[in-house]
Amino acid sequence: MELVTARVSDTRETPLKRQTRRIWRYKWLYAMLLPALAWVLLFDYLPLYGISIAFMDYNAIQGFSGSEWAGLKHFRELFESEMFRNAFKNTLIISLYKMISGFICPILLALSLNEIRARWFKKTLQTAVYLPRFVSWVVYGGIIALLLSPETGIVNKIVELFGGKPAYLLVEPSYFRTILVATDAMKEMGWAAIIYMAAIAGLNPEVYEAAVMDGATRFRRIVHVTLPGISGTIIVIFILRVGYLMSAGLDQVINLYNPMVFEVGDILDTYIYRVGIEQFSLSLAAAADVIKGIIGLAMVLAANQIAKRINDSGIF
Amino acid sequence: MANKSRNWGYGAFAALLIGTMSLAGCGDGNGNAGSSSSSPEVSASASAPASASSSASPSASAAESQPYELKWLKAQDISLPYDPSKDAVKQAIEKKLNIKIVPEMVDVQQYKTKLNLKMSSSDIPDVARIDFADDFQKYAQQGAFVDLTDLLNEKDTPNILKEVSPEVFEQAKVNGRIYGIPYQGGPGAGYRWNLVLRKDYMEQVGASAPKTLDEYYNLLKKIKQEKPDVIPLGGYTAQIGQVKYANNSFDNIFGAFGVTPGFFTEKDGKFSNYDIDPKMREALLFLQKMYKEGLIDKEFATIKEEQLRAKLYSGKLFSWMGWWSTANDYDTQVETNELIKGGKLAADGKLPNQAEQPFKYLTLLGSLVGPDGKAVAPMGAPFSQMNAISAKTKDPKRVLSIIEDSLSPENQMLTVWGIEGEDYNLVDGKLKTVTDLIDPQTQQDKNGNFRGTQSYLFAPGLNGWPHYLESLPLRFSQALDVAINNPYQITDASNYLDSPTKIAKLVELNTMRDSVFTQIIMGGDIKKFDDFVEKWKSQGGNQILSELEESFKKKAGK
Amino acid sequence: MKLTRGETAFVATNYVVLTLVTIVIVIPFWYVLTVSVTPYSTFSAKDGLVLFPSSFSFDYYAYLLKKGSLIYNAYGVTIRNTLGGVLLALLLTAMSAYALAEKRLPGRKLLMLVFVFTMLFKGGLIPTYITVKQLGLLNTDYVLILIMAYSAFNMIIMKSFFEGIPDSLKESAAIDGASEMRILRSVVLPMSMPVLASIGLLYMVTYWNDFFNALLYVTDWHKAPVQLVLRTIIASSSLPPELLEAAGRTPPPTIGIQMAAIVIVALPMMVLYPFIQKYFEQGMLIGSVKG
Repeated sequence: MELVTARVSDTRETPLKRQTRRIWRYKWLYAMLLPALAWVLLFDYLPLYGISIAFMDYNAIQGFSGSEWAGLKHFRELFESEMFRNAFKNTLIISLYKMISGFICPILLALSLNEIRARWFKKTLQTAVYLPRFVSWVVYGGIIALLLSPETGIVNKIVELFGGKPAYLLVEPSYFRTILVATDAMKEMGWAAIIYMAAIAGLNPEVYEAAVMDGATRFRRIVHVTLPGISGTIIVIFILRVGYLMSAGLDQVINLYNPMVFEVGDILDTYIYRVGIEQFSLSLAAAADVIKGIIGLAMVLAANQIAKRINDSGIF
Repeated sequence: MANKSRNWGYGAFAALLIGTMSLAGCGDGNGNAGSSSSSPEVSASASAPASASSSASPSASAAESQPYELKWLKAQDISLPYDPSKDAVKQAIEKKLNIKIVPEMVDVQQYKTKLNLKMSSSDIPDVARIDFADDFQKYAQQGAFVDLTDLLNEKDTPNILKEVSPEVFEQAKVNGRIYGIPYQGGPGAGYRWNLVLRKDYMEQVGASAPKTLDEYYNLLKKIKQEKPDVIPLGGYTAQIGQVKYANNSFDNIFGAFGVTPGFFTEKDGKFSNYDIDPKMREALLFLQKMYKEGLIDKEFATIKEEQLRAKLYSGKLFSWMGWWSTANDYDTQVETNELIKGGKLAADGKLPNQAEQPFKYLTLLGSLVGPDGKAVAPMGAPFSQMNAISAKTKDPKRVLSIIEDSLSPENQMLTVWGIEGEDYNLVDGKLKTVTDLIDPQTQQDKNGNFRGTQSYLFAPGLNGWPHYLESLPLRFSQALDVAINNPYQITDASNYLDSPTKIAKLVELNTMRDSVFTQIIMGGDIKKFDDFVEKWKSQGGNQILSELEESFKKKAGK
Repeated sequence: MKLTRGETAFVATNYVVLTLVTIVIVIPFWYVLTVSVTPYSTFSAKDGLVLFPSSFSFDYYAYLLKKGSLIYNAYGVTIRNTLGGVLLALLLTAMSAYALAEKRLPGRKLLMLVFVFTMLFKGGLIPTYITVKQLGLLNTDYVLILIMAYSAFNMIIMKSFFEGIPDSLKESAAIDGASEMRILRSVVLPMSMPVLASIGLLYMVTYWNDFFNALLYVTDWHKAPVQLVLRTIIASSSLPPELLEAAGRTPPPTIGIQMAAIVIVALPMMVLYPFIQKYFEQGMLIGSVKG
């Protein structure tokens, strides 16, 4: 406290000197930031020059010196491509669905798990739902295909048991997006739930006890104590998720989609993969990447502003 | 105060961004500082002198004495043990050609990805083998390879010209220049697929091998009737956007209609593509009918080749298009499963190698003919790959002479078959590989050496490697025979022509085609085909066709 | 504490629903396990529909774990990369999260923007590869440790936890003469075990499961982590035979091998997880997380 009073009484300090002194006060914090900053500069910012590829007709062999400037040519090409526009649309739709389900499911899961008293049961379930994370989509997709197989798949056998007609679900355009969202939830919700469970674990037990004394039921305790308690975490994760709106899950889609559902399933990332790696049109792929990045950034900033207005907290 | 600092903050950030982006302008992003740092984790072999050839020797004769170091990207099966430093055949090759091979091992599946990566970061292997159809042309146009046009002649490179005729080189030109040496290898060019049928099932319904589409169709219907658990015709798919070999699933049906998906056609200088041909429409309608009648596997659009194999082994498949070299395996597996079912073999039992036996369960056929007595089968190009020399290699002329050297009859035998007396023997002039030289588990011979045959070579083998057919066991040569002697094979007319739009757009067009065709076969409205034709033409197809015609005229005019 | 009828119903439903959900989630993994021990003839006879193993065969495991196989070495590499990587990552992440949690830090907004920007805008695969190459990191022992050592996403999560720690605690330590590092180490971190454990786990899984970075940056197979080796072995079975001819290959492995490979790689994680779980239980924070 004396530090503050000392500053106020020293009127000979220029604004620059004050700034400098402020910065010096936090020198240790800056020092702690340095390693991470260095990492980010090296591995994230240096490669950024690659974005300029989007504005050139990039010749991979000759490098930049052998490539000509192309301005917005590739961007125009993209907007004129029906396939690109379709992929864009699909990305938005699928991402939106996934955001909603990815929002609700892990929270529900974390809340439900939290209510389990039997510790061994809780532990077993926790481990179990975390498992699918270890299986890559190459395999997970293959398994899903097997389970959904028209003649021999379990899902169809169950449908038959209940008197329904078996259907070839994986090739039905109307079901494909649902399959994407559902299987993604199955695979990922255990992982997301962990973060929420950590947040819940960090809540103050005293508040719970107070609630119990006030006569709140379990349900009300969840709604009025737990949820608000982890709302900060929820918001942070939500905002971050929004930034990833433009990536709807390359690994998953590549392993699950097929010609029949192409129109509803092709996303930006699979488009970029085909164009960039299969076709080796690096500039076109880079342009699509730039579009993705700009939109993603805009969305994060917007979401952050909204969150600050509503809840007075955001990422920055 | 707050406002000022915020603006200052954003300003600084923008400056940071612009700064990094302009790094691109200042320097060449592909700086070659680290060019020598990439592969050499494996030390030199004992026989070759250990000196690394980092000194570029000026005159040819001085350089002859130092082994030339070749960086080599080698496609390898990672699941099998291998150590290049203990490879006896490799050592023999290095000694004979005075080279030092520095291999970087990549699994077969990652080969193309790794190669693309290296090309994009200017880390081109000294000699690279690349698919001709698109990759090679792309890279050649970007200046990746040495221009060989003036270096190939009777005096300096007689062996090369013996293997690859000037006409074939003509076809391999990109923008009028030669950038690599054509390569095919193995049995050489030609169709490689068979129509495979379960012989026993066929006989059980009292039929004989069909020759026409109608006979085949009726046979399938009979099978469906009398063996309802068996899928008459199976198919599988590949990943979307990847080279779609799965078109071959219905090769025969398409072929009988005189079309094959994806191939360009030329008649009197005019180009078209079977994808937009009216006969394709008929073929699709026929396939649609077959699908509806349950003659085609319901799952063909989502299963991989591996799952097709599972159905085959368990006896649930009657006919399919099979790659020639798989027939032996499949027949053996079917036989194994039948024996297990009949209790004559344990659940995890295995049969010994059956390759010298005639086929027991499978019948292999060529093309089915249509009502006009004709058919088409999609043949690969006379050469599907190129061996190209990196434009950044230290002494391109020397590399070319090394390749020339390796194509002498004696050296071809060495690089393809290995060391006579150890890896193979010539019995009455016929080649027989020694099959018990290496231990299957360790892949080593009794001295602890690996045998890298067919691994480090340039032999184009456009008509097949020397002695190749003789070296095959019975089943393999039979399967190959049926395929390669198919009288209805045709090549894609666009194979060696230049068309930038084709390189840029073909993947998209093919993706569209796969999507539409599959939908139609599974019951979609045939009108989708007409829509597709229009789209194909307007989204690049017409452009490609006119470019092909231009290129054709230019090449013919020579 | 007596439970009301409503509460009992709630609890019971909870248990049942959770169990069902868990079963659905676990089924694919159980399937993997089962197929990995089923002989191929049984597998194809049942059209791949095996839920309970009827006959056992450890052939696939034998194939993968045979003597001299790359897998053993690769496992060592993976363990080393993961341990080193997680330590480095937690260090970087915790320090930067702590620093940025200080609201009065000058230039904080700018710094946050610097970090967040990188999450969304990436230079692209090739430029990143070239950068790594020019830093001289290609195919080194530690390239894989470095390349995944930081995620702004994780940092932001940690930061929001740190922001919830009351300033009073930090200030009282400062008055006692502790440096910032000391405060972090002795005051903040012990209270943040849950978030440390969960972020640590996230990093651990990232390192352990990595395949793509290894594919790009490692050329020496003796430096290859286990995911790369296994994926390579099994990926070939999804290649059609016509593409395999290029390598003169023997018949590709069957689906059983794919499954066995998955089990081999996932096993350690599964075994470790219950031990890490207990850190989630610690709720020693005084005061709630910032809401």
